[in-house]
Formats: sequence, C-alpha cells, structure tokens
Amino acid sequence: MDAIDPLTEEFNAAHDNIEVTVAYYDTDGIKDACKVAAQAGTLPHMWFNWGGSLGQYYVDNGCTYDLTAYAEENKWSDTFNAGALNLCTLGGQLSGYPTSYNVLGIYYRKDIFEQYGIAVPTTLDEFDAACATLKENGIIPVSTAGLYGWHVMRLLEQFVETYAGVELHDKMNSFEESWDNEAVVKAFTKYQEYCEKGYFPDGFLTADPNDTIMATGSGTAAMDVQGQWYDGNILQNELDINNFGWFPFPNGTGRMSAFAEMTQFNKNLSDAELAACVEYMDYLYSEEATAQYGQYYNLPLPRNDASMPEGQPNVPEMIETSGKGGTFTITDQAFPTEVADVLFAAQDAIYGGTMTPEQAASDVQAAIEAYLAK
Amino acid sequence: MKTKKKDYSAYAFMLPALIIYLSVIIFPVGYSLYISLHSGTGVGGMRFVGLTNYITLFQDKIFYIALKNNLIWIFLTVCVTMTVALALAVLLNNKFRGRTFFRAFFYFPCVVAGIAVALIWRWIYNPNIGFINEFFRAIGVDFSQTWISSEKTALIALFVAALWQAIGQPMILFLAGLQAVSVDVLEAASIDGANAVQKFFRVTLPLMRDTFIMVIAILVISAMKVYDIVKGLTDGGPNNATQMLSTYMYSQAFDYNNVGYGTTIAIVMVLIMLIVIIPYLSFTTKNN
Amino acid sequence: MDGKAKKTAGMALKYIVLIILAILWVVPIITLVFTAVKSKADFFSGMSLFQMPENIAWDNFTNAMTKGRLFQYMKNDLIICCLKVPLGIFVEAMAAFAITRLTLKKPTAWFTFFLIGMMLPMQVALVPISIIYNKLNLTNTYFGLFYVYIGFGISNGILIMHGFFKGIPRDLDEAAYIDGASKWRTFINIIFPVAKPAVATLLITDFLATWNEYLLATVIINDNKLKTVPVGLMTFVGEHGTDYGYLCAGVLVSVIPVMAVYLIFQRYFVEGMAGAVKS
Repeated sequence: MDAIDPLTEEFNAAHDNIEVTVAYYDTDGIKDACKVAAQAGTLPHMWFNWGGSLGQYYVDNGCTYDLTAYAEENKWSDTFNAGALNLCTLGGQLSGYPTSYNVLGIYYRKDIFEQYGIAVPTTLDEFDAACATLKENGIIPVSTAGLYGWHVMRLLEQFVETYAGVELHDKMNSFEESWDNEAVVKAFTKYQEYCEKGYFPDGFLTADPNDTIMATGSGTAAMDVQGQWYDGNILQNELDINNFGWFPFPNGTGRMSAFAEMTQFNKNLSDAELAACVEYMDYLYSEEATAQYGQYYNLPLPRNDASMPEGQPNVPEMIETSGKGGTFTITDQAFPTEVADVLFAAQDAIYGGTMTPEQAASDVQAAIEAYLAK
Repeated sequence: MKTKKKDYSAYAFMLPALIIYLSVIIFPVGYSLYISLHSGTGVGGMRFVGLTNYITLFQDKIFYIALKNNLIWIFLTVCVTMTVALALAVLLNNKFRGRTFFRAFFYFPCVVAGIAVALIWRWIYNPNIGFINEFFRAIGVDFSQTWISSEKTALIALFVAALWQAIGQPMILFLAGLQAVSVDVLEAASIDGANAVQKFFRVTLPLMRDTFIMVIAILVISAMKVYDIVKGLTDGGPNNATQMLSTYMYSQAFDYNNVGYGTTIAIVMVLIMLIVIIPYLSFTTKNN
Repeated sequence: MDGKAKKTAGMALKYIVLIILAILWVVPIITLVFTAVKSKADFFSGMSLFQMPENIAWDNFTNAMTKGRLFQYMKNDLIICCLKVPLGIFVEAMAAFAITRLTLKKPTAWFTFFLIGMMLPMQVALVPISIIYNKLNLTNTYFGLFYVYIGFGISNGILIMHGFFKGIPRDLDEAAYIDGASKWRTFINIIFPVAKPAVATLLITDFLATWNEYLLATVIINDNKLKTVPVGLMTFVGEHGTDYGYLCAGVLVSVIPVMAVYLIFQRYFVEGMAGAVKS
C-alpha cells in the first residue's frame, strides 16, 4: 500500500488514457471479496491471487483471461522465471501475471546450532538427531503453528517427499496416484513421532502461523519452515539477520516446495484494456519500483533477470538452490481446499491421539475421491 | 369494538422498516432458499438438485458435530453469560464511588476489534508464554495445559474468551432494564420488611420480565451464529472440536466452493432458530 | 446488626465481588495495552507478554495512525455511524411501536418475521446484495453501505425496542389519546421520550456494531478513500506476519470514539429514572 499508492499515481500521471484505481484488502478479505465478486459478476479488470487451487476457481469458472497466446507473442518465457509461469498455468492456460515466486526451506538459528555443536543436517536421520539434541537442551526444535493447518503441512509434505520420492509425489499431487499408500503412512508416522517427542511447541495446534517468529526470534525455538520472504520479516521485526541461516529440508530428492502469486485478468478485457493492464503490472513490478520500495514486495521478482534484495543474504541462495534442485507444488495449492482441510484435521487428530497414520492416509484419499466425484 | 373502522396506522408506522427489511434481508433469504436447491460453484449455471443438499446435510458427520457444539454454546451462554451479566448490572446499578469506571471497564472488551481479541487470548492460552500457565508456574503448581489445542478443553476455553468479550452487551441491556424497576416499589417492599435478596427475587426480577425475554432471545440467536471468535482463535479446530454451524457454512460456501451446500446450512440455521424462537415468543407474550 | 452496619457490610461485599471480577477481566486488557507500548526489540527479547516495558514505544501509535490510515478511516466510520445510528433507531422504534402498541393482526408473527434478519448468517447475503448494488450503482457509496447497515440493524433494534416498549404502561397512551393526541404525536412526545434507557442502549450497541462491521464493508466499499476502521486494522496482519505493536496501538486508538459514545449515554442508566413511569 505504501508502495502501490505513489507508483499508481505516477503511472496515472504518465498515461493520459489509462486511469488505474486500486482497492486494498487483507489476506482473507481479498479471498472473500473476489469470490463474492465472481459470483455476483462484478469482478474488476484485474485482481491479485495465489496460484494453485485458489486461482483455479476463477479459471474453472471461466472468469480469467487466458494469457497463453499473449505470453507467447510477447515472449514471457524469456522474461519470467519458468517455475513461476508453470505455477500460474492452471487447467492448461496461463491464468495470470506472475508477481512472486516463493520457495520454502528450513530457517534456523545459526547461533543456537553452533552453541550445541549441531551441523546442518543432510539426511532425515541427521535432522532427527539435530531435533533430539535441541530438545535435550531445552530448545524447541521446530517452531510451527497449526491454526490454519498449512504451516504444519509444510513439514509434513517434506516427509511425504522424503518417503514418496519425486515421481510418486508428483503423481499423488495430480491425483493420478492414491494417497492411501505406504509413503504417506510413513510420513504421518514421522509427524506423529515428532509430536510425541515434543519437537513442536506445546499447544502449537491452535497457534497462529504469523506468531512462529516469536519463538525463533526470542531463541526458544531453533527452526521454522519458511520461504525466502522470511528474510524480510526478520528485518521488519528488527531481529539480527546474521543469526538466521537456512538449509533445504534433507528429503533426499533435493526439491523444495514452491508456490506462486499472480494477478489475474478479467476474461472480458479488450485487447487495449489487456495491454493497459499489462503495462501497469510491468510498471508496478519493475526493477526501478522494487529498488525504491523493496521492503513492500515479496522479492525477488519472478523474472529471469531479477536482482536480489539487499541485506537479505538467504534469498539468493534459496532461489539458486531451488533452481538447481527443482521444486514441487506446495500441498495446499496442489489440493482443493476441501481436501486440504481433511489433511489438516488429520494432523490435528494424530496429535490428539485420536487417529492413526493409516486412517489419516485413507481419509485424505477418500476426500480426494469425493472431490473428483463432484 | 366491532363497529371500529379498520385502522391501518400500524402498517404506516412499520412501512419504512419494512421496505428496507424486505430489500436487505428478505430478498437475500429468498435468493438463498433458491440457491440451496442448486449445486455448483456459484458462477454461471447452477444445477437444480431439489432437496439433495438438505438430504446430504442430514447425513453429514461434521454437521452434527457443529450442531452439538452450537447447542452446548447456547446452553453455556444462557447459563453463564447471562448470570454474570445480570450480576454485574445489579452491582453497577446503584450509585457508588467508581461506578462509571467499572461500567466502562467491563464494557471495554466488546469494543476491542475481534482480530485483537483472538490474538490476546491465543497468547493467554499459549502453554509456553501464556498467562495461565505462567501464573501456575509462579505459584509453584505444575499444571501446564494446552487449553485450546486439546480437543477436550478447546470448546470451554473458547467460551471463556467469548465470555470475556461478550459480557458488556447483555450487561448494558440489563442495566437499561433495571431502570424500569421503580424506587418506590422497592421502598415499599423494604417497608414491608423484605431484605435485599428477597427484594431482588420478588420485586426486581419479575419486573424485568420483558428484559429477560429480550436478552435470552438475543443471546440464543447470537450463540447460534457465533463466528468471529471461533474463526479467530481456533478456526473450528483442533479436528473440528470447535466447529460451529457458521464456520462450517463458511468453509463450504467460500473455501470449498460448494455454494449450494453452504447456503443450505445457513437456511437450516435459520429454520432451527425459528423452531426455537416461535414457541418461545408466543409462550412468553401470551402469558403477559 | 443495625441498618448502618448492614449497609456497610453490603457495600464491602459488593466491592469484593467487583474486584474479583475485575482481576479476572483485567489480564487480557493489560496484555493489549502492554503490547501496544512495547518496541519490537522488547517484544522479541523474551520479555513476558504480561510485563510493562521500561521504555514506552509511543511511535507504535504514530505508526499505527499513518500506516493504517486510521484518521481517515475513523472519519469515514464516524460519518456512517452518525447517519446510520439515529435514523436506524427511529425507524426501528416506529416499527416496534406499531407492533407493541397499535392494532395489528398477529403482532407476534410480525415480530418473529422481523427477527429473521438476526438469524440469517450475513455471509449468504453478500452475493445477492452485490448483484443488486452493482445494478443500482450503489457500490462504493456511503448511501449503499448505510442502507444495508440499517437493514441488518432492524432485527436487533426492533427486538430491543419491543422489550422496552412493552414495559411502558398502557395508561400513558390512553391518556394521550383521550387528550386528543394523534398516534404520531403520542409516539413522538410520549413513548419515545419515555424509552430513553432503551434508546441509549441502542445508541451504544448500534454504534459499536456499525463501527466494527467488517464483512459488508469489504464487499460494498472497495474505494480506499471510503473504507472504515476494521479494514484499516487488518492492514497490520500481513500475509507472512503481524505487526503486534502497531495492531494493538491501532486498536486502542480506534476504541476511543466507541468508548466516548458509551460513556456519554450510559448516564441514562440511572437508578429509578424511568421508575416514575412504571408506577
């Protein structure tokens, strides 16, 4: 908002024939407002959205402009990060202008790891051992928060990746393979083991994901599964960035989970309107704009030539590593929300001891089948 | 009375409210009834499915969990919230030093934005940094609980937070209601030798009958619709332990894109409330 | 025990109960206040959430005002509340007067009918309202927002007014009619003034409900210049993190007008004020 307002004003001043007005919402507010607008037929020319199942709704219901041809003509594949374009491609069409590309790894407190002589783990066993050492010394190994389910899921999906491997995990995410399999059971069992060993904060199940930084920031917890935006968060909260390092979760495949954010365009746009929209987006997401207002963006920009944000040492490393090792779509964007919620309820129930890993795996698969049968 | 000509003035008085009400409330109710007979994502064509959504609903496990939670919530609200609110109103009714301060103090929580209420109570219940567990530690009792993260305690813990926030509203309704109790009547009772307790139960309470009818109706309806605090503190979790009809309706309609099904839940909520409220009101108004 | 000692004992008991309740109620309030005055460094230093910081971070308040545009949003909210609340109350009082004191077939049925608005979960009304508003060009207008607010307030207003009007003795209207007053005069000059505690109650609760309303405001208003306070507060909750100090400071500032309205109108809850009416 602090960045968009002045930039929009400048843009409007420079373009006599285009007048852009922006409406701001919070995270949940925009989800609701856009869905209501879609159902009432009052969607604006463009709107912010997430990739995966959240953006899919608008594609499935024919609300979005199919940018595939436009992108080909204007050589978007040269401009934009391939991973980001891929995540914005839903139902076979490029459904939005990519605005951010996020990859997740394990952020850890370097000073705490050093204090207890813990090396960066490279296998799941080493990760287990690191957790055990931290726990013995009264440090919470992993700061997580289960209120909306997705933060806990970030670790669980890494267990799934570890046990299922690349091919099976991808097929499971596209629903070609069943989730009711041994790898998923093992992943839930691992999660159950972590719960039982107290590797997560007490009462994490209803903690707010935005609050996980309270524990890592004050040093009561050592690790947190976060994306490259976390460097910015650490700085905004005036914490010492030098204490925070990162490593990819040692899942054996080298892949990190990833998600994209984008701006979707109304399907009824004329060519001229589309051009104006894209021009505005180019302006808003330009190197000049981010250089001036860096702290308000999810950096780096999802472009091939994007420069890295200053003073955020972990960002370039994470982007580079994800480029080499590859990524998989983060589970809550791969799943429709109703399936994701079943997964989240299973996480809760396993922690509460009212569900077995086997039951959890079959519940998730049942939810997928119910969704597909709709 | 037979010869009296028809008097339409009542309708004239109701007209402004009626016009607004029909357009803002009744039109959406009709629209919802229509949507609840359809299936689809809400955009473009919706498929007519008759009563299928209603039939599915009555076989839905989570619907029953949510309904049970709402009924518990209503029970707690009427028993606990109302009693505490009444006690506060009575205490804060007569004049004493600091009355305005206490009146403001207990009303303050319901003014605080829901987002902040959820934040604070999550901290209070936090097993590591939370007030309750810190308090027990400070007095040397080892009684660490996970309060809202345990399926067993979550609903009660949630209710306590709601009680803290919601007490102000019924409190001022009772305060206003107490103004209808005349000092003369109370003095007459004193002269007859009634003590404070007798005066309260024999004089004050019966005179506040209409206030009670109103407060109970408001509390029951708002308990049936409870949403903000649940959404903010537990989001229906852990494992649906605090799932309410309203949060479930929201998930279905807005998160799962089952617009018809979600709307069906809303209609059923209205029907359940009507089933409770109609006999309640006709009973209470008849006995007047 | 003589009367005076009894009175003192009763007074003491009252204070004890109040103080116990106040202690239970105060913890969340001080958490809110302490977080609002804590700097980020103090917040992450491992300091207890229930501890006062040594240096009070006043800039949380200034930042909250500028970053969340609270001044602008409070002004907008105030305009809507000042339009909606009095007009809403008047419309609701008229309807409640009709239901409780005028000749009407099946008054209980009408009363129940008017309560449906309270029962309907607001979320399901969003789409139909958006459809009409879009057709009538009412999105992004104060009138649009104010109109739905009145609509959604009607049930609560009629319920509260109904409860109080019923308590007012019939003799009052009868006397007025005998004196030749019209129904309108009786309503304006007799019943409405007597219902002061009810009007005060509604003013307080309605002002609060309107001030903090979020859902309809996000759907009907998307012009940033017209937005209201709850939308401003939500800007402190980001996609990846919450500004705790700013949020709590913003909440404390945003509460001021509502508390002011409450403090002004709670004076009408004075023992025995309406007492003369009852007897």
